[in-house]
Amino acid sequence: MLPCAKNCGNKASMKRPKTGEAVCQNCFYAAFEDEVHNTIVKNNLFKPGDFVAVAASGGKDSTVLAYIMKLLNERHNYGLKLVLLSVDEGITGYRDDSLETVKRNEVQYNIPLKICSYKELYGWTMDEIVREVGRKNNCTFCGVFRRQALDRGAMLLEVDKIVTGHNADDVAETILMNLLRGDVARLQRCTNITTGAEGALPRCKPFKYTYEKEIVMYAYFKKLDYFSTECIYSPNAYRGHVRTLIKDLERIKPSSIVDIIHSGEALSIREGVKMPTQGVCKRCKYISSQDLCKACVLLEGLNKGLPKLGVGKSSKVKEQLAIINGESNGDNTRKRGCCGSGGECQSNNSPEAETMKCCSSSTKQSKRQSKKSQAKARLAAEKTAPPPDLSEVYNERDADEEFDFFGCGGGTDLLQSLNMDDEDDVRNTADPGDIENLGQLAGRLLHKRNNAP
Amino acid sequence: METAAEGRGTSVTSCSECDSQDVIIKKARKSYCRPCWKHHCDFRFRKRLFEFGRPAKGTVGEVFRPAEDVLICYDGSPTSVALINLALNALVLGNIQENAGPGTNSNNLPFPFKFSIVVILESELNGSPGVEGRQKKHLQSLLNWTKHAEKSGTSQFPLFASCVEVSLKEYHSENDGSMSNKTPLVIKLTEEGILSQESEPEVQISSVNSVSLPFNESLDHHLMELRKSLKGKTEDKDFLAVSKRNLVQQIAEQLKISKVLLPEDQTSLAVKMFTMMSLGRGSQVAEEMSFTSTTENGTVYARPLIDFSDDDLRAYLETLSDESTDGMVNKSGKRKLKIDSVDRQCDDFIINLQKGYPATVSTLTRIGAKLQSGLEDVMANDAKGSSRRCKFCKRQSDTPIDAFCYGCQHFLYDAHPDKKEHFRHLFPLNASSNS
Repeated sequence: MLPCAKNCGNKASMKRPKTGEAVCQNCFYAAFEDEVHNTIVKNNLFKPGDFVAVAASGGKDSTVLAYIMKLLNERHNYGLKLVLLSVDEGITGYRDDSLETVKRNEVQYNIPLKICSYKELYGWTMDEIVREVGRKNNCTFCGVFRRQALDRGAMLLEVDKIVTGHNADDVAETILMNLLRGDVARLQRCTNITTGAEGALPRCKPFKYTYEKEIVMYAYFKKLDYFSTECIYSPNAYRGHVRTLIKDLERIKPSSIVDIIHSGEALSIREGVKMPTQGVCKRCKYISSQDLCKACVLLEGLNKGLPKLGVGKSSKVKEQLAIINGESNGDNTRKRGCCGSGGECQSNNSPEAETMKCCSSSTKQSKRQSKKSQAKARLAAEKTAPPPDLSEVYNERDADEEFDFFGCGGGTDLLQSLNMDDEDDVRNTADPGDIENLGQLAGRLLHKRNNAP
Repeated sequence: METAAEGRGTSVTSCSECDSQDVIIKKARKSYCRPCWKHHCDFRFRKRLFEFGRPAKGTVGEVFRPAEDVLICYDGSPTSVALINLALNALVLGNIQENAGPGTNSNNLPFPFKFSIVVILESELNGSPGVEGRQKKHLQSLLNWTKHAEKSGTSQFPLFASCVEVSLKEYHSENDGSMSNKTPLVIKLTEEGILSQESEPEVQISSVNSVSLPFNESLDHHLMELRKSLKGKTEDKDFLAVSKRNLVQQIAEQLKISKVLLPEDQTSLAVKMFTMMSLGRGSQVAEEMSFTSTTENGTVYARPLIDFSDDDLRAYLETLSDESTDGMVNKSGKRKLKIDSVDRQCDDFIINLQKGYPATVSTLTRIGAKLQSGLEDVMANDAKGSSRRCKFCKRQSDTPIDAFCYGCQHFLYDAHPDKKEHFRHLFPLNASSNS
């Protein structure tokens, strides 16, 4: 057996995936913890007194993160107040089991736990969504909703920061994914160790330079209680291809993962390239580069029986949304060769008739097609699964009132679990007549906080 | 254009341009027959070529200037075969239009380029077994092609060859004369007889059989030792690729050519992007992915095949006569490469992904054109920063103090400890930073 490379006198019991060094267990723990501590200190992730939510799924990354955050907080006196924050997507046979693990972690690490569910926030569980959209694009829904759900849960808890268990493999994957999708906006910010500081709550990745394999080894040797089953809906994801590539590259050249991160950090977008401007969603006030945030668009699709509405390019989605809502867009119709005068167009009388083969026929045709596809989608949805009984979820709402709660939850049970003082504070910060539900409330809070001097 | 054949429910595709049924390629919305696809490719290539030839924005260029020399890098790949044929067709078409008599509608300017071809060879010692024979066979095919080109056009394509170990010449001190001084940087293959001028850096040779590999045994041995000391295949290939690129740069400087055409299509650029990202060369991706990039010495590299995928070019090669591609393209089948290095892994990934998601390589090329080095903002504010280039690969360096960029450090610093002296010998100025 080889001696430990750290010259501690012990025999090496493992080879570190990141460096290839042969080390003993204790030296591995020390190196692992020191690296995470160095990442935290070097990047000034926290300041004393911060209230930090640890995004906990019950998987290996978040379990190790919760464990190590508590350990380092005590060891190095960070002065942080920690809370576990979980999102229940509503995936039977996966999330319900993993949440049990998080609940055990709550007791084991003595960190309070808060669980937000998709059902509460959006009115849909992932099981219901998958029944609607099928297995191909369901990760789009889950990813978008989870991101918002975490922010909203964190806002309600009034934390200062969220820490997530994204590891080096995840960051490298994301860089390559954004390249493959041609997403310049995300490419630029995906390598940041702290994201969202400019808009929503700051999110930190203390494991940005930590290899997934080392996290698994740490959790295994420390005998941490974590849930190791992969999401039952994820194997069809496009990300899976990139994940396989990362693993293959790591096999050939272990430093590839860090090298990809280094490469991603050294990239930026050329001057003059059009970038999306960040604003807020008109409906839920969550940060968005479009008029409606992705979650609202996805929800609109789900609620109107067109589950694939939000999947695809934003420009196309915008067009479809306009058609569904009966809005006419002069610019778009012009692009299609129409004069833009809608139903009143008289090609014979119009002076533009010669140059534009127009009238509203193309718009009418697409509306007709859209209605057809709506009807088809509704029929399919009715056949596969009945739409969720929203009145049960939002039982406080008037039965006659139209459901228009995009991106927002309807229940108040999250508020009930907060202490009353907090609730008063929260309620006082927004216009009470305007707030219909908890999701909107969180959105307003977020908006107000971002606009605060 | 697809029309449903009556009664059978099958669809018949016809060419979008001429309605011919002999379709060889389908693009996103269009289908092309052989002649239309050839015309389309020639047109797209010429468009890029003239974009490359026109004066830079804000400068006043001479319209009736003499044709400028351009060096084409030939590496034996189908892409490079397509490149030389596209260049030939552009030249032939340019000459036809230029010589069109008065009274015709043609009022074209003279064709702005004269082409030369350069091939970088490897010796048996450094390459795999049988490499010399294969390379000479390819070189002979290329020589035959230049004769064919001469028949087709009004001017010929001079053919130059060099050997990869010659790239090490510049790193040796002057007193190391045995290694460098008498070795030519490049030889010119010509029919005009042997013109043996040992003192000249360029030697003219009449036949492929007269090309002796390696050009310099001592340098070749040294190169082999360097490559042996590298950690793995990935580092070895990266080192060799940088060496070849450096050599092309040296040849261009010696031939006083300031413009170089690279045989890189969308697919190879996409693979290159992923490979460079995986090697930590992210800061250099932008200059390797753009249509043109300029080196420190002012040599401009262009990638005129940036609009074509490898499938497009394969279809283009099918449109050519046998004489144009004889012995140059392996028509028998597909490549089966053993995945033992990062570049092959990336190649395998991109090719497979492209089958399922056909927009993959074009998306990567498009995003590549939007990138810049993240250090450029910093360097704009730093007067000294503009000259911060890696000593070895000559690309932009992303390390603030070191002489070498992050990517080159991989193979220069991570060499086997007992063989590091090879690199110290190679870069004597940087011995201290190596240690």
